[in-house]
Amino acid sequence: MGARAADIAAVGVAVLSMMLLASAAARAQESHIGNMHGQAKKGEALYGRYCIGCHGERGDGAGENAPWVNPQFPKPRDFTAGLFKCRSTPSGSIPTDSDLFDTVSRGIDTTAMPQWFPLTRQDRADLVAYVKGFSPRFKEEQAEPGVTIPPESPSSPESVLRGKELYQKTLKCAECHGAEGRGDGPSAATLRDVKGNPNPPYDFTAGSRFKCGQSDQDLARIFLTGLDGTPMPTFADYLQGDQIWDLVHYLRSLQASAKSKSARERGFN
Amino acid sequence: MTRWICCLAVFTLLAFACHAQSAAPQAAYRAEAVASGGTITGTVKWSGAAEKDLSRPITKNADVCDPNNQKNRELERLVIGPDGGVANTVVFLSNVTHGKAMDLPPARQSLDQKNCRYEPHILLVPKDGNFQMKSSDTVLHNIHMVGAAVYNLPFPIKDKVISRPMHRDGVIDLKCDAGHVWMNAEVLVVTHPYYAITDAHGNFELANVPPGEYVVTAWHEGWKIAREETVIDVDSHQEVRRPIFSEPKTWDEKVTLPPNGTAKVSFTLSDK
Repeated sequence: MGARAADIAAVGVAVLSMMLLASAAARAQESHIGNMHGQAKKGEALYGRYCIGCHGERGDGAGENAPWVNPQFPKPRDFTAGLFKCRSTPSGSIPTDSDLFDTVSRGIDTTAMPQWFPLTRQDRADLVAYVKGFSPRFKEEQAEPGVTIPPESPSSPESVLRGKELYQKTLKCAECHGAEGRGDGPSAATLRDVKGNPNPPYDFTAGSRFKCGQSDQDLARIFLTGLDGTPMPTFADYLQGDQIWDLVHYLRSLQASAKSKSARERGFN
Repeated sequence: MTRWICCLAVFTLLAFACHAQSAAPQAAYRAEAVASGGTITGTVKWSGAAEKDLSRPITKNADVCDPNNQKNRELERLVIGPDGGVANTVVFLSNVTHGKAMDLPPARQSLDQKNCRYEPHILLVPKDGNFQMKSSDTVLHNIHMVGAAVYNLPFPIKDKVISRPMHRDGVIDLKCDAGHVWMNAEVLVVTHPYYAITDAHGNFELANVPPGEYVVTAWHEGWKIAREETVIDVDSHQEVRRPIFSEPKTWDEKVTLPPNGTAKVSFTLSDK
């Protein structure tokens, strides 16, 4: 090999090595949602303005406001644990960037986490990139492939009754969520999140929305993914065929103020 | 010019290698045929006044959880036999790099929930292996894992086996989110097979170990209550408390194992 070729080879190796080194660090500093790319550096300023009050400087949920969050609400998320409620991924997996983006946008119903639609989509993408930096899980792990939600079967009185059987007897949902779905079951008071803070189960009779969205699909997804970091587990091992929709139809029947289908499925930007 | 670029290339490659290496601190264990393997045996004993194992009242589903009407359930955090031997201590080789293939007992990879108790109390699962769980009870259990795995799994249906892969090595604490606040167990996800659990007399054995010098470590779960969560059970209107345990402790001993030989190691556990 001539001296010139050796020069070129050495430069090539140097450049490749630097790229490898940089990419490992960069992967967790960015977010990718559809065609958008978020940058953690930009997200940092936004976090310091909008999120730090509850989620804290270290992203551990110990912001100034955290002690004052209504005791009925769960405490602000501790991002350092890498556990997130609203995901498309199986229980135990980290969320995708899109999952985090949806949560920031939509907020979490029945908690103190508001909807952040007033921030632009780019702002929200930048925030996602910054929040990922709080947990090493985003550097060390990949999000698993998303859960598959089967097509919804039609609702009917029979479906609602089958759902009732699943809720009350087979899957024992009533243990935590109570006989009428009010979140007052026999285990409810002992429920804690992973940090030991009280985490009461969802009250299905209150309103028409769920923690991670408002459509039937959003509710079905929670049965498959579980709400990691809370006592709500995944039931993916137990639900077969249309059972997941029977359960959704039964839970809708508990909602006194369930809105019309079109209003429920009205998406968000 | 070439020399300068070469140096830069080597430096950056090394930097990347170090970065990659720091993400995986232990050299991977190599399974290979063991020549002139020996056996390391020993005992784990308790020193000092014998501590009584902690217990908690059985406050829920007494028909299933308390068939013998004992009212209290031992937490099994510190089990000392009449001869001073400490059971449920995990003894392992800290610095083994090669040896026999994975042969951890399948019984330790399988958990049952029976009469509201996790059986066995200590589990050993090989990294990337499957942890199998089931419930023999007709009441709802909910295994909540904290530590190297964070699965949260319900067991509403008796005898249905649920399995999950354990991709990270480390310790996992198990607790029940379905109101059975006394249930607890520990899972160790491990990268090599030289792990033993002491029996009721505190005895252990590590077999087919390649000759050499080793650091043998005894690991024991935390046996003190670090703090308690106090809640009211809305069903029974009784105050229930879930104990949160102290951190596990380890003790190290050096041992030299001759070819085809035996070596003995003793551990003394105490409160200090």
